[in-house]
Amino acid sequence: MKNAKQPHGPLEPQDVEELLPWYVTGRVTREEARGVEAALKTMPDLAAKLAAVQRERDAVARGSEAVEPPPPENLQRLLRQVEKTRQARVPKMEAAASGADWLNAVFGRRIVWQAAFAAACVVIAVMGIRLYDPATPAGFGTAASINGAETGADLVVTFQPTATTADISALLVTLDAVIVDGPKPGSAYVLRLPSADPADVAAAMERLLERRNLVQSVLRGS
Amino acid sequence: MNPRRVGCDGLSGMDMLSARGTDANASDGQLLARIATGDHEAVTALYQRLERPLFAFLVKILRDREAAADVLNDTMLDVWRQAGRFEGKSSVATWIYAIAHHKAVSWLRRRREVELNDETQAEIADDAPLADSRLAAADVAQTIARLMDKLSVDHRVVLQLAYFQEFNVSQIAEILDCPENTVKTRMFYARQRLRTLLQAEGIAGADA
Repeated sequence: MKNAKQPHGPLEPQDVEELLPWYVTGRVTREEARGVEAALKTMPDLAAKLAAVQRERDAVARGSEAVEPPPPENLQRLLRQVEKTRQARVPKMEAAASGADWLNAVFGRRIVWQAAFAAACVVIAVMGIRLYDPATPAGFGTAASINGAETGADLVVTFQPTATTADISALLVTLDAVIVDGPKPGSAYVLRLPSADPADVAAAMERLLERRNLVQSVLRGS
Repeated sequence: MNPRRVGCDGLSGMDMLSARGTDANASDGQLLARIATGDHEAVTALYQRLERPLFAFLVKILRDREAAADVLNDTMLDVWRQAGRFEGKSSVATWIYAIAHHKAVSWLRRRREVELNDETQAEIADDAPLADSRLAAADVAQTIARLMDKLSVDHRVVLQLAYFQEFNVSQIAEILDCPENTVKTRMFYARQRLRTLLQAEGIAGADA
């Protein structure tokens, strides 16, 4: 069957000439290269055109290679700019991201407002459970009560300004921790851990401090 | 391997998992994955890898070293900001050159250079004194390099990207955000214009 495009047939002279600038740098497909080489045998003036393209290419390359590099202080300037520039964050957990998107839409990307809202939600949820659970004694409760852990441990944590709600949510999930208070002066938050065992608390603190991109400081709560 | 040819790898999941290694051996994609995690050393490594070819490209387009240095840094700062959003749909190199090209054109637009169309540029080129240049015409390569500066921005860009950065047609189309046929057409007219300028310099047989 005859192929309308004839991909394996000879190239048109115009197509061959269009390919020459990329043929001289080896940036054509194998099939295109074969087409150019076949045309060189049948088109008498093509060799001269190829030589002209090669001259242009050499001249452009030589001219560009002669450009002195930027001054060394340019890199230092860039690194100072990088220091001061926040990266666009991409949520890593789909579930956390959907909640974060909603928070972002309502409160913007200011972590203080988002975390304050999250903490308020936790308190409201806990009080709601207390009110409607007849087995629970009345009075102010903590998030740890949700899991039945009456004696969790508190940590006072400050997050990096660049940390997003999604990042923090994911971190809290890994620790099975919740925010129970904050923001306090210095944008600190109180995290409630499920266990007050000193070894568990120390391990949780270590894991928080490993995430320096998210966590600024961690202190034991009172 | 041609040292001018920048890395052309995308960013794979494997890059994200095994992004550590010596900077010299790391692919562009691996360095970008590290930049996405806030790694300043990876910024330095990618900058050092790209500074010469990318800076030369910008100098040739902008014809201003100071502006080229500024645009180079602006480009790398965008790479830092957006590294986490790179989806690997194109190569890292074409992505970075696309950012650089966009910023260079914006800079030129601010300077109102790109408001000059090809015809106007041609008039300026034709009005330029030729006495000294004719003396140097014996060195065809040197003359071509000099005449490159008289081409329009679009023509300089396509010649640089093809001849020095050695991108193929589809990569240049990605960088310039235009169809591949437009790249070929620009190349055709860029070469035609260069040929005309060479003939005006008295260099016969610049092309067959």
